[in-house]
Amino acid sequence: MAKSPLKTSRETYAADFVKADYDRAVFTNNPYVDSVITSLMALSANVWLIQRRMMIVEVLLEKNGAVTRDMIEQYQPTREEAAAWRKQRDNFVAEINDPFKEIGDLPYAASIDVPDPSVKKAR
Amino acid sequence: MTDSRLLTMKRRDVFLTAAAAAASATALNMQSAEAKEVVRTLAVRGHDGVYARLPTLALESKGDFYAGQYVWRAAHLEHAAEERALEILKAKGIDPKSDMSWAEAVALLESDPLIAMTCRARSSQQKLKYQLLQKAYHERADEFLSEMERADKMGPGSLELNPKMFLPEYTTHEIHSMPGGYVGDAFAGHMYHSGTDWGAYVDYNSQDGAHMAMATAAQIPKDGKVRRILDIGTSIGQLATSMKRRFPDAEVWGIDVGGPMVRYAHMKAADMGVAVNFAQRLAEDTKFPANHFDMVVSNLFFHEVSEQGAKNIIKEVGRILRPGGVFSPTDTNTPPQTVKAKYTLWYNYRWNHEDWYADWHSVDFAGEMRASGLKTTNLQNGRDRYSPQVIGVKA
Repeated sequence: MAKSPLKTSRETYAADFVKADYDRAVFTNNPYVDSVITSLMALSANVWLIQRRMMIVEVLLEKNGAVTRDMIEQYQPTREEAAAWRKQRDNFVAEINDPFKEIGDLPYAASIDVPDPSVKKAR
Repeated sequence: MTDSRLLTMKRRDVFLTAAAAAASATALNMQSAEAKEVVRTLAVRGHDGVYARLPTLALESKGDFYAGQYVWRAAHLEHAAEERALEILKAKGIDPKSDMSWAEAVALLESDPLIAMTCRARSSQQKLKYQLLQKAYHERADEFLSEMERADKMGPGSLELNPKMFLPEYTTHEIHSMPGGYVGDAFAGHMYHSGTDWGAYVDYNSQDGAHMAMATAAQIPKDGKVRRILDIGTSIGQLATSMKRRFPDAEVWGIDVGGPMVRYAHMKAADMGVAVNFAQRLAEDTKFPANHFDMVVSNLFFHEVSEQGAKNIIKEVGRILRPGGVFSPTDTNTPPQTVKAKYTLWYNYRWNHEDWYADWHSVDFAGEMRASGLKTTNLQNGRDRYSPQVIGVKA
């Protein structure tokens, strides 16, 4: 049985649990490719975070001419902004991810004519 | 309950007041400056409807990305994988709706890179979102534990915690790859709420929309009397609070094996001003008297229960329902109709750690209900995604 990694002397009401092995799954034919896909997703989440923060800063600057960190943290988009930002998010996600569903299927060498320059073509 | 009566009390708004801050500082044995910092950081982001906004914009924004990732995968990548599966089966001369075992379906499809990519995308998203949430709550654990400690004592509604109670082994698994599962992390409720917001329930969760739809659709006893309702495996209490909103005069209970889950459920319900009683108890041993409830409901619960657990729970439901009382379990109970659907189910079982999916699909649910004294109806596929496939009425 596993224990929560949280170190605290306070009552957490957490119990021991059976640890799962989801971290060990390899879905591609190379575990590093799996890691790269996960890393790309994490990186993309961070890029979106910056983009969203910038949109908030722009809105606040337009409205108030100045911003503070608290104003950024507290900002709640209007219904219209939320809809527009969602569309922007979906476009962003698609731009990153679409290549994953548009994979090629021709092996790069086996399917291509490989000319041999040393062999003279018959005239 | 009308919307104007909802949200009468928001823990973070209450927490913000000077009086609450002073009381909190005393209760938490903290210096006032420290307490003020807790108040500031927890109060700063407010609410979005019934949803207490996440503690930082960064967490909210990354979650927003993962929700978008989920939507894209479901709409595009899964569709492409479906098409690929059809091509593979066609090439092998196999009917896509062939009756075959999970193992046969997996053997046919596992080596295709596009289909494997859907699994990778699912798995990476689960891992990243839960890691993100756990890290965020663990890093500021004292603040969030303080918030829960304070909410434990708040009303309306009540909270019963039983940290020493016996937990059957099946309840302690890391279901759907959530760190610690439902019992093993102080912030299981927090993680579950956001995790489902950014995943399976995207767009229908933060305002309890899916749960209100279920509550609205729930069948009531023929005599129309609804005085007591129980939600088993209540998780973070969304269906229980929705039932209370539909039946404001009824006494509503929500029970769950996870202490952190019912703590969060109580905090959320109190936040909304909805009086539900939450208790950490087993659904197979509810401690309620016989013939007590007019309605017993559940949502997405039985697929996370072992076969023996399900049998025991149904028997207990048969005991605590009063004659004429209605049992409405809603779940993901459409049997897979295609080879690809079987493959996906296997993936969820094996790598998303829905460890009891196979049990759920093998148990004779309606038969167990009848053996427990319930007459079963609605045995076909659900009318819609929020309706149960089998309804039991106690004879």
